[in-house]
Amino acid sequence: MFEDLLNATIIVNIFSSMVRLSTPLLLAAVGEVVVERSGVMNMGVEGMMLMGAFIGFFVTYNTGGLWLGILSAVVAGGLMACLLAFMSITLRVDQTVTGLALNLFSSGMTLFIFRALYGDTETVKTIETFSPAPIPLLSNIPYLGKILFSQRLITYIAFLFIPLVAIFLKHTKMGLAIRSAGENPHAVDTQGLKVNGIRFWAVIFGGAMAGLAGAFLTNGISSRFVPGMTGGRGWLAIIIVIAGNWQPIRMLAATLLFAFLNAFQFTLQGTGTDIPFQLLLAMPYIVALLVLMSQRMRSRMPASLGIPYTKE
Amino acid sequence: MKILDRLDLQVERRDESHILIEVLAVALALTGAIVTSGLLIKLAGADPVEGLVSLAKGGFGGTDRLLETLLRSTPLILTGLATVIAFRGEIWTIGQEGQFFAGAMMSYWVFTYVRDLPHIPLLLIIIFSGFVGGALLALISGVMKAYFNVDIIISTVLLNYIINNVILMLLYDKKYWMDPSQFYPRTETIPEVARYPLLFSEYRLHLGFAIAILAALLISWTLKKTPLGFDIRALGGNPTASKFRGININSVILLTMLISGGLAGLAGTGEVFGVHHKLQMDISINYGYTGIIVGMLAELNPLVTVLTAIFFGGLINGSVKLVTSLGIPTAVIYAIQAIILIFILSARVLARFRIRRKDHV
Repeated sequence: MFEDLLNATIIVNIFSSMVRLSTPLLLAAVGEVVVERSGVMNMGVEGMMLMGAFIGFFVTYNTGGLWLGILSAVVAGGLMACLLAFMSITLRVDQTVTGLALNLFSSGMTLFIFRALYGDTETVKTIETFSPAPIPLLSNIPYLGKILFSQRLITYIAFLFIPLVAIFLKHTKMGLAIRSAGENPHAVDTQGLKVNGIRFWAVIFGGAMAGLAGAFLTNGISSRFVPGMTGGRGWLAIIIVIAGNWQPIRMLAATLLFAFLNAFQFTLQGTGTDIPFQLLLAMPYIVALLVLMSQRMRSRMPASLGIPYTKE
Repeated sequence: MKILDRLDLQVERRDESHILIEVLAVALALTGAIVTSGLLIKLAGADPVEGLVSLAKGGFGGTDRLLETLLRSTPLILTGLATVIAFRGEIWTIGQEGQFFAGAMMSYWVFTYVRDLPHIPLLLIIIFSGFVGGALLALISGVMKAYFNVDIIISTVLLNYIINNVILMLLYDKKYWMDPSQFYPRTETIPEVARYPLLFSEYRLHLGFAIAILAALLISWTLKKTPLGFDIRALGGNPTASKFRGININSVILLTMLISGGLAGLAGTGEVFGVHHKLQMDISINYGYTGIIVGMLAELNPLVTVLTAIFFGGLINGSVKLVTSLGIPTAVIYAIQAIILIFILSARVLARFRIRRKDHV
C-alpha cells in the first residue's frame, strides 16, 4: 500500500491538495489573529465559516456567479460578526457564550434553510468550482509548479494575506492601534482613540475573512453544500492562531500540517488501505490536541484578550 | 448618544436589575424569538400562526404529548446539568455531545460482557458505566487544562469530532459493533432484561427521567451546600481570588469535569437503553449542544434547567408534528432554539442598563 504512495505523481498530488485545502484554514486564521490581537476572542469562527459556505453556495447556485457568491459570503460573515461585536463589545455578554450562541445559530439556520429549499432528499445540487489559475512560467517548474503555482486565485490571495497582515499589524498606525487595544486598552483611550470602535472593525474583518474561507470550501473545493460541512475547520483556525503564538508568519506551519493530514487522508482512502478512514478523518483533531499540549509559548497572547473594555 | 448628552442623560450599567424589569425583558425577548420563528415558518412556505400553534400542540397538547415531551427532555435535563455545573465555575466545556456518545458507547460495551446478569444488577452496571464513559472523556479535557494549559473549550470540541469518528468506525464495520444481519449502521437490539423500566406501562417515558430529576436535585444541593459547590462558585467568581484562598484550582476543574461528563454520559446511556434499544448515530439529535442552550437559558440554575429542558423537549416533540402536518423541516427547531438563546442573552444584559440624569461633580 505504501509503495503506491511513493510515486512522484501521487506525492505531487498530495502536496498540491495540501496547499488548496490550507486556503480556508489560512483565511479564517488570518482574520482571527487580527480579532484576537484587538483583544476580542471570537469563538464563532466555525459558525461564520459555515454561513459563508452556505451563502457562497446558495448565491452561486442561483446566479451562476462564483465571485458574486464569494462577495455575498464575505458580507454574510461580516454581518454575523456585527452581531457578535454588538453582543460581546457593546452589551458585554461573555465572549465565549456569544461565540457559542452564534455557532448554534449558524448550524441551525443553514440546516433549516438548506432542508426547506432542497428537501431531505439527497439529490446533489452542485456548482462549477473555480478553475485553477496557473501562474505563467512559474507553473512550468517541475513538481513545484504543480504544487504551488497552479492553484486557484483565492489560494494565492490567502497566502499573500500572511505577509500583508503581518506588516499591517507591525508597521502601520492602524495595526499599532489594534495591537494596543488588545494589550493595553487604557493607553489607547488616553490617546483619544476609541477602543471599542477599533475592536468592532477588527471583529468585522475577522468575520468577513471567515465568510470568505467558508465560501472557498463550496466554491473552490467541494462544489456542493453539506450541512455542517465546515467540520471543525473554524476551530482549527483558532488553534492555528494559538499555535502560531499570535504571529501571522508563524501560523503557516500549523496550517500546512492540518491541511496535509486532510490531503493525505483523501489520497490514502483512494489506495484502499486497511486503516479505517474514520480514524484518518480524526487525524487533524488528534494532532491538533497534541500540538496544543506541546505548545507552551504564549508570549504574544494579547494581555487583554477576552476582557471587555469599560471606559473609566 | 449625542441626543442623550444634550438631554443631560447617561446610560449606565448596574450589577443587579429589578426583578420586574428582568421578567419584562425576558418576556420581550421571547416575543421577539416567537416572531422571528414565525418568519422562519413563513419562509418555509407555511402559515406562521398555524405553524406555531401546531408546534405548541405537538409539544404540550394532551397527556400523551406531554409524556412524550418529558421523554425528549430527559437527555436535555442531563446535558443541561452538565453545562450548569461546569459553567458555574466558568469552565467552558462544550463536550457534552461527545460525552453523550462516550457514555452510550461505554455502557453498550460493558453490556456486551455482562449481558447474562439478572435485571437489577445489570441495569446498575449499565448506568454506572454510562457515567464513567462520559466522565473519562471529560477528564481528558480536564487533565489537558490542568497540566498542559489547553483551553477546555477547544479540547472538548476537538474530542467531540474525534469521538464522532470513532463511533462511526465502530458502527460501520461488522468486525466491530455493526449488527451483521442489518443493512444500517447500528448495533444489535438490546434485550428486554437490559432496558430501562418504563414509568407508566402504556407510555415510553422511562427510568431515565427519574434519574434526571434526581440528578437535578443532587446538583442543586452540591452547588449550594457542599465545599465542592462553594469552590466551583468561587472559581466562577474570581479564579485568582480562589487561588489566594487556598483552593486547589486543578482538582476543582478535574472534579467538575468528571461530574459534568458523567451527567452527559448518563444522557447517552438513557437514549440507548431507554428509547432506541440499540446504539446508532441518531440517538442524539444534537442533545449535547442543545443542553448548552438549556443550561444557559436557565441562568445556570439546576432546578430551572429542568423547566427549560422540558420546554425544549416540547419544541423537539412539536417539531415532529410540524413536519407531518405542514411539511416544515424539523431542522427549524435548531434555528428557533438558537434564536431564543440570542434574544434572551441580549435581553438579560439590556435589563441591567438604565438611563439616568448625569451627575455633575
